[in-house]
Amino acid sequence: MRMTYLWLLQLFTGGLIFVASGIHLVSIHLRVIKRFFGVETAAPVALPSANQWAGVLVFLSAIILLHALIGLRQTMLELAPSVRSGRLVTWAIIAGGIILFIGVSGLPAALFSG
Amino acid sequence: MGIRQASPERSRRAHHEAEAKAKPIALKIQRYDPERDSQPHFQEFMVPVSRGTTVLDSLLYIKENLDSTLTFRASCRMGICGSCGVFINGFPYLACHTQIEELRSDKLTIKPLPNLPVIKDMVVDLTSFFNAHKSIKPYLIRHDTQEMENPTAEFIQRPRELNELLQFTTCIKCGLCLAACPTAATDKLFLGPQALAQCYRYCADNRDEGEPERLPILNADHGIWHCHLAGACSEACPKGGDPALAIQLMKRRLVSRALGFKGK
Repeated sequence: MRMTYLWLLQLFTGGLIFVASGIHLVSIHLRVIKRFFGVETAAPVALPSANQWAGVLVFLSAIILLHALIGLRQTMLELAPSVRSGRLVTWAIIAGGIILFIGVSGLPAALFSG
Repeated sequence: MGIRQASPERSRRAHHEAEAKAKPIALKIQRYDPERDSQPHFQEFMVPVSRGTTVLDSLLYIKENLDSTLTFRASCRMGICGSCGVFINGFPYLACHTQIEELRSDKLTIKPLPNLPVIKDMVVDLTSFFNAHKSIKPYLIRHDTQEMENPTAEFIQRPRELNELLQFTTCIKCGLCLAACPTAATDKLFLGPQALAQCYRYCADNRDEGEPERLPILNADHGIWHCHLAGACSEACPKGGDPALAIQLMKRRLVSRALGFKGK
């Protein structure tokens, strides 16, 4: 059932990315949206702290990497001429994904710790 | 009242009249003889076509009158055996089941089915196709061996249970769906729409208990999840089957199992 679980994970991370994109769009246009609905507030919106931002970015990079790498693996497997080359692709993607995640999640930690 | 047989003279006259009414069309056929050719090439033939002439009729005309070396498969000539699949003007058809008139073209380009190795001219190697079909265990699997060996009654299947899979029992294993499939064009290890659809046919059968045995084949790397719902298989199927629907229904069964909703 491995491929079925991978497909479900792909679907789930895709949904999360969609929701996160929606939240992002709303938050950057919040003032305009509030004005559209006739809500005027003088008080500024409270922004998350630096640590919370770092957490959000790590979470986002995890789901984006998962979604992208599962999709990339599926695409590359279709072009792989043999089972052996398919296994090589899988392990290369896992290794590359771990390195990318460490690199990408380390960046927000470095940015927000200073 | 007896049936009057046409005299030979009358038959010959009718044949000549039909030939006189027939208009010629050009058939550009891909030829390949591995013993002589390094690569495929095209050969053009002018063939008389009248109303009702099928592509198979034209191929037989060429073989009998113009070039006896033309090689193709054909058997029943009534769209039931699935032998005569060919690629006509960029789409797979059964040659016996396709009238030239319905193609609405004065020039036909006929090639062997794509996504399968070519043996000679229109004849392709269907070994991988039938191996994929065999791999999904295309038979009813039951675990009550006692009942199977010494049956006491028939296995009941109600009409509504039959309706769930009846459409998919019409498969004649012609290979047109595999030829049309864009995934099969790039992924040579892909099981193919025919095998996947037939897998659903058996898993959906209420008399079958073999779904758990078929799961590893479906969930393999080049299994059901490489189907991207292009739908070309359903468009190509000459028997009105809908392999794409069967594959999506099978995916639904797999997801239900994965989420723990149902099992058989």
